[in-house]
Amino acid sequence: MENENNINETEKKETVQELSITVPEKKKEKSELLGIYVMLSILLLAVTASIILSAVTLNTFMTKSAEVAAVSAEIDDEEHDESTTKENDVTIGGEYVIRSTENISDAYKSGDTSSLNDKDKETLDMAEKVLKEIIKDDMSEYEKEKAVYEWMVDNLGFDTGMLPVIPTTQADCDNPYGVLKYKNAVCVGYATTFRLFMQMMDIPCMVVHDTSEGHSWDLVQLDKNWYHTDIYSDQGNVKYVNFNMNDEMCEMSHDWDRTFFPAAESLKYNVIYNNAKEEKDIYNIPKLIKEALTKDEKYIALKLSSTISDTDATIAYQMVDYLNYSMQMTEKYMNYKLICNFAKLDEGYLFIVSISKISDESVNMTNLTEEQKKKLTESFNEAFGADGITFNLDDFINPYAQDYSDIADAATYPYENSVNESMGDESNDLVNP
Amino acid sequence: MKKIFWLILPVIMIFCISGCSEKEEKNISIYDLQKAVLEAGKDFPEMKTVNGSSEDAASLFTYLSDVEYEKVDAFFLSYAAEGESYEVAVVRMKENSDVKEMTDSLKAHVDDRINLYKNYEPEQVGRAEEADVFSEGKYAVLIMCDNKSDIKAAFENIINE
Repeated sequence: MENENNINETEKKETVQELSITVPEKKKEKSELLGIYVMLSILLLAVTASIILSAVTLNTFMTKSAEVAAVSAEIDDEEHDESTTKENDVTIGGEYVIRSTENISDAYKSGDTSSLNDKDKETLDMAEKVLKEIIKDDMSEYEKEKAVYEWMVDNLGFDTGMLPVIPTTQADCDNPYGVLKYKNAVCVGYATTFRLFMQMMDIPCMVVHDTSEGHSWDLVQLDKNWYHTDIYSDQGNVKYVNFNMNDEMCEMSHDWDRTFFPAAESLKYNVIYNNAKEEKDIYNIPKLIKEALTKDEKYIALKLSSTISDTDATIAYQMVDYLNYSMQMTEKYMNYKLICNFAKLDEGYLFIVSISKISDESVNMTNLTEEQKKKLTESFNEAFGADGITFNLDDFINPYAQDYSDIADAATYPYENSVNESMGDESNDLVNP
Repeated sequence: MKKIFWLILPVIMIFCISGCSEKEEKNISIYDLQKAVLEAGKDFPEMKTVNGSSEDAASLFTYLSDVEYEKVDAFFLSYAAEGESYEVAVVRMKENSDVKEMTDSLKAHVDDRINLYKNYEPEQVGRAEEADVFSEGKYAVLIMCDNKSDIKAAFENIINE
């Protein structure tokens, strides 16, 4: 019994000892486990917070993407709607709006101005005053149109304030009120004013705009045929070059929606065409240009014979381009600019070369500063020096000093011979025959 | 091993949380930026400049872009007074997510300018066609001039200061 008790005591002691050994270990293990649980909990919280933040950011991104997509779709719809061409309520150059003035012309024809506001009444009075001055009762529709064209070219200014990013054009430069009051206009002003005059005289007229909505001009109907007239482009340049053009002439420098605007197929009332000279030899063109320069004429207009091929017509165009370039390399002609237009006729071509002179005060190669000359020389030589083309500004200004003997045989470039022959002593002899 | 684990774990947690948030950018004064950039334009003709401080800035901004002005934090637009093809514009957006819209809008603006020059001042077309439009962070930038690289360098220098 005693032994059993001893054994029990021993066992108890052992158990207690085991327990006393186990408890600290277990406590240690427990505290470690607790630590792990705490850290894991913090980690879990951190990861959860990270996921939530990412989700919020992603949601914001998705929302904004959806907004952008919605706005883009709206814009696409609007653009689709706006792609349907119309004559009025079109904004040109992002700033100038083509607006109808039929209320004014209707009031003029009916004699009833009660529906007009004060501004429109004043517009009508100014337009009526012009018509009284320039229009005679016995004039044909063409003569009336030409009279208006000439009045506008002679009396209106050229507002270039539309060029800066934030335009500085005067108020109302895009409508007849401002044009007639201040005598200064952008293209929309010219086009809408011309249309007002035509409509007051019952001559059908539309304002045309180009496909990029950067420019506008007129289409006027005479004897059931439509003609393009761009008075703004003729202002300050050569008269009649853009007057009563057919589509072929107009498309040399304009583009428009031909599915909307009527076709212009006639040249019956085109001044240039009616005064053009017959020409059978394209190699006479430089001589004719030289004569025009001598007489200080503003253009030459030729009806190239039907015997002249399409290739020859293209060569003629290139010839003028070459001559323009060559002239600008001479002191005498460097301020002149040649612009060539040609349009296919039923037989042959109508070929027009307008001659304009840039202001003497403009920058040209003779009045550059030393710094500008140096930069010009360096930039040309850097770009083309390795190709064996050297650039020397003194030679550029004085081309006679250059040796062109290594340039290809003149026989390859017959039009350069005609250029050299016609320009005589002023020739820069770019090609030595 | 455990000690190393417990040391590394907080560091990982810090990265987890910090990776979710947007970096706060230091906003430079748009006027300082404008000044630094335009000083690099040595061959500029007479220029006019408008910015967010200008009277009616929201309305003036529409000559540059059709992006909603509320999305813009700050901007300046400098352009040739006589209409030549010299132009510098910097627009700082409020949100990074709007920068692409702004950049696209600046490209559209350049296209409009090219069309205008084609119709009225063909001599200006070449420079306009070479215009540079790019973005950096929250900034959308347009540079239209001869010495584009100098202007761009001036811009990058000041925003990276």
